[in-house]
Amino acid sequence: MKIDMYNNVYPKMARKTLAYILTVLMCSPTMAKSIKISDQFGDPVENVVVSFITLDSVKGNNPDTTIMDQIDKQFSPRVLVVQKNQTVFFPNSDDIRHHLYSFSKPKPFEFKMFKGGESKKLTFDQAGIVVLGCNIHDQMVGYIYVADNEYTVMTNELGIAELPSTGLAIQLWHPRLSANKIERKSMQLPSMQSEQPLMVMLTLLADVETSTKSTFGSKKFNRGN
Amino acid sequence: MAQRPLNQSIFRLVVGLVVLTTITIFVTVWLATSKQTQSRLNRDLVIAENVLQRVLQNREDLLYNSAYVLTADFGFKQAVASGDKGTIDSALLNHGQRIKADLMVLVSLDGNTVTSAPAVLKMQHPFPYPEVIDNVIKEGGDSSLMMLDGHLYQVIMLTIDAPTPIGIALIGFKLDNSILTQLNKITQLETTLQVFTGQSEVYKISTLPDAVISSALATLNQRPSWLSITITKDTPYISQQFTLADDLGSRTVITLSEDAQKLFADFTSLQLGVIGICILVILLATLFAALFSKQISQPLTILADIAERIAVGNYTKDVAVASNTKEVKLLSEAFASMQNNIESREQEIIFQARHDSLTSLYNRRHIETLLDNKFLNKSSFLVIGINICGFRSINDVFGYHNGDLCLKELALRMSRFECVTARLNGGELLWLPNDRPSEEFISSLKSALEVPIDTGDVVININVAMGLIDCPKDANNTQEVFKCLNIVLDEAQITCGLVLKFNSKLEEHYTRRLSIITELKNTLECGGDELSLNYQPKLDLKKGMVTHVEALIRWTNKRLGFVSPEDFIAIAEQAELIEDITNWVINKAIEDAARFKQANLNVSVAINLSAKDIMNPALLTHVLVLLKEKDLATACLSFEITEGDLVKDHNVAIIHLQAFKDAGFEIAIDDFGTGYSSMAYLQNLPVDTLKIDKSFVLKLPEQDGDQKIVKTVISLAHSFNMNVVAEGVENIETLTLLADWGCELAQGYYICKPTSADNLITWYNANLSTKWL
Repeated sequence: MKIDMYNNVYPKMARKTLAYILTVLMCSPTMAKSIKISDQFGDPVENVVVSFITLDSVKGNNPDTTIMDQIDKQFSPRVLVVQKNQTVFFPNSDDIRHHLYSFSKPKPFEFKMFKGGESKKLTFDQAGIVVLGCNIHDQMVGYIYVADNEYTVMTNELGIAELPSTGLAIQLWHPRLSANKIERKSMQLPSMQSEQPLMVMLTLLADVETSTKSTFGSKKFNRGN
Repeated sequence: MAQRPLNQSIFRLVVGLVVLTTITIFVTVWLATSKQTQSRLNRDLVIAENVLQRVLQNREDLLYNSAYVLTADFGFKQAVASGDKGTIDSALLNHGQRIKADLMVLVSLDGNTVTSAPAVLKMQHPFPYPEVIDNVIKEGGDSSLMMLDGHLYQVIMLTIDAPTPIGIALIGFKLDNSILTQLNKITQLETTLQVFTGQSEVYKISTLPDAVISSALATLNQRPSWLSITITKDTPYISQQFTLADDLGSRTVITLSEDAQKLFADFTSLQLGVIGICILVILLATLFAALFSKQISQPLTILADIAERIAVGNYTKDVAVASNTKEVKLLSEAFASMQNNIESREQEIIFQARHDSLTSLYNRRHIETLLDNKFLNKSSFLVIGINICGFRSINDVFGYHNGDLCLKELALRMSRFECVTARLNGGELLWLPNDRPSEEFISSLKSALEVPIDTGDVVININVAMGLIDCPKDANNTQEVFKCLNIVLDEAQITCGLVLKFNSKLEEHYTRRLSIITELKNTLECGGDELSLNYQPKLDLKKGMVTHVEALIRWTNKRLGFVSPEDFIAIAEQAELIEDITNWVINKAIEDAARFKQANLNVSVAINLSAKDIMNPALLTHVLVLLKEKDLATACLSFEITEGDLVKDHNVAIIHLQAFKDAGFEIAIDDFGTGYSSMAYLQNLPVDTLKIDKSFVLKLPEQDGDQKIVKTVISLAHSFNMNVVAEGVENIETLTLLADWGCELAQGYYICKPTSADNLITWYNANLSTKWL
């Protein structure tokens, strides 16, 4: 029997997401084409994938780069956005081995990458979120956002993303938006915007570092030390 | 305060102190060990708790590490990610077996149980503790105690990261008896684990036997008393409880129980040991205290007995009390010296009590005792009283010092004879010869005693009178001896220088003397109503008429009858009553003289004076005063003095007599011729008249010798210009002779017997014209 964990998880996660506070701040009456995304602590959130369907273009934008490199035992970039059926290259810039894998539903795969070896490539033919890991280095987590012909932009380190127009219905994605990493947040942007970026706040999960999992603080018998 | 024997006091003190000390030691040890045990218990429990925590933590760490390694296994991840139940189940089973987990469960991120091996949780059902799921997702993992299907599991829940969480793996390890046994081995404490939901117990395991669990849990966190552990043994366990975990609606508590018997075993044996030692010490102390106190008190008891013996005068026993105690030894020595001192002092006292302090002869009291003994023995013996004649005069003349020397000397002389001697009083000694002495011996003793005593200053001649009392003939008891002694010595003293044997006449005489003295005293005290004066006329031969009357005292006592003046005057002189009698006579004579004058009797009343009266300087004045009261001339009174009286103190007598004569009184010498008076006195004496003793006159006509004496006396008197009175004239022949010889006055029965004043007046008037010659 095949179990679709993600479908099972989804309704609950959606319910939870409704509880998240989403606030759209109308900062100015003038027209603007950018949004600024911050978390519940007011810090700008980088790598938020903002996707939308433009009125004038059916086809989404094709990102220029489709390389998910491994540099210094980290995926680079952390979040890579590609369009469905696009091929992603996986070079290895480290001088050590990596064992890339993904159990994500759109494209489960497994690469054993030798140092200085040829780069692997993989075509993602289904839209969705692909979570990348390295079996050797647990701290390595990467995401490939496979867009389904949507137009996508990603927030920079200031949490700002430029949008082509106002009044878009957008979807927001970020790994810390849900536990299963696949949840997206939809929202309708107002058509009247000021020059200032539109402020959007996302409530995010705390970042769990896989490498520090052994120090979780809820062990029962740690007291007395 | 109640008195208590010394040994008892010492005993009590020693035993009391020892008991107090041992009790103190016991209580101290008890408290210390009790406290120590309690703190050891507390420490044990705290350590055990910490150890338990540590053990569980280590176990958790170990379990976690195992679980982590398991969930990090790529194959496992792959299997889970495959979504194939068979694959997942087998992977769970396989990996669970690797780390000996009792339960492996896969939970989806949205909180549903995916699979459970073994099938403790229902699949496709929400996980019973959804709050844990959130925490696991948030933290990456969780560890907790969970009640699952009636069992308690130590559960490690970890996200399965590929590399982000794709599910949650639950690895459970049963907390069962084997774990508790393990803990028990480490902490050495009985461990009970309970899980409560709300107030109700839902799970319980224990290393304790089922029977005692409830009682062990009942004494939770109590610190039971030593009594209940050691004696009543109703507290088998001492328990301490702490909460291991309190979440997920359940409270897991651990109870550590220490076997009280085991814990207190050392303590109890120590206490029992101390109690044993205490009892032993008390017993030993009691024994030694008893011995010691006896050792102290026994000599004291003996000494007390000795003191009592000494108190009743028994000094014979040796005072030596064996004792190791210095004080007792000192006391014993003190007793010994006390006994000696008391004995010697008592002997001294007895000696003083029995002896005369001056002469060291026996005293009167002791000789009484000796005499009593002799009478008791019914022995026949001779008592000889010795009286120094005129001892008082010796004291007066030579002084008491010499008097004492005389007594001492006599005592010394007496002591040379084998006999018992005592001093009764004054110059009176008592001699109690051992054997009945011969008269020669007594005489020689007398001579020996009468040797003149040379005191150094003077030589004192002494005479002793001796009275012999033959017991039991003369006296039957001691008091009679003394009475006889008085009588015989009295008599012997009167007849100074004699050895007088006691006889019954002496006693009669003595008794009469005593009676006379007593009665005379009584009479004189009553104003002399038993006394009377009789008067005997003196006839003036020249004038042929009565010119003088001699007052003669008469005493008729209602008991003794008529007592001759010769008897009682002499006794009165000895008994010092003569002055009173003279006073009475003078008063009475002057009274009568006044009557005579009133009755026209021209007579001079002659009163007899004793030598003592003459020596009384107040007498003359007294007489003159009385005469003046009665308005009488001195010629109405004249005095007669016995010749012997005057010899003793001649010069003073002359002065006093001269005074009487100067006052106009006639003085006659009575009983002239009977004494040994020197003729030389005669010319110096201021005397008017010589009274010839009647012994020369009574038979004057027949006795030629008497005639010569009387004639000579008359001529002698005349040659000294004195008159002569002749008494005892009983016939006319005598009267005639006297008248012929020129005798001035005559007195006697022929003329008139002594008669009362009234009769005299009658007689006088009747004979006014009588021709006597």
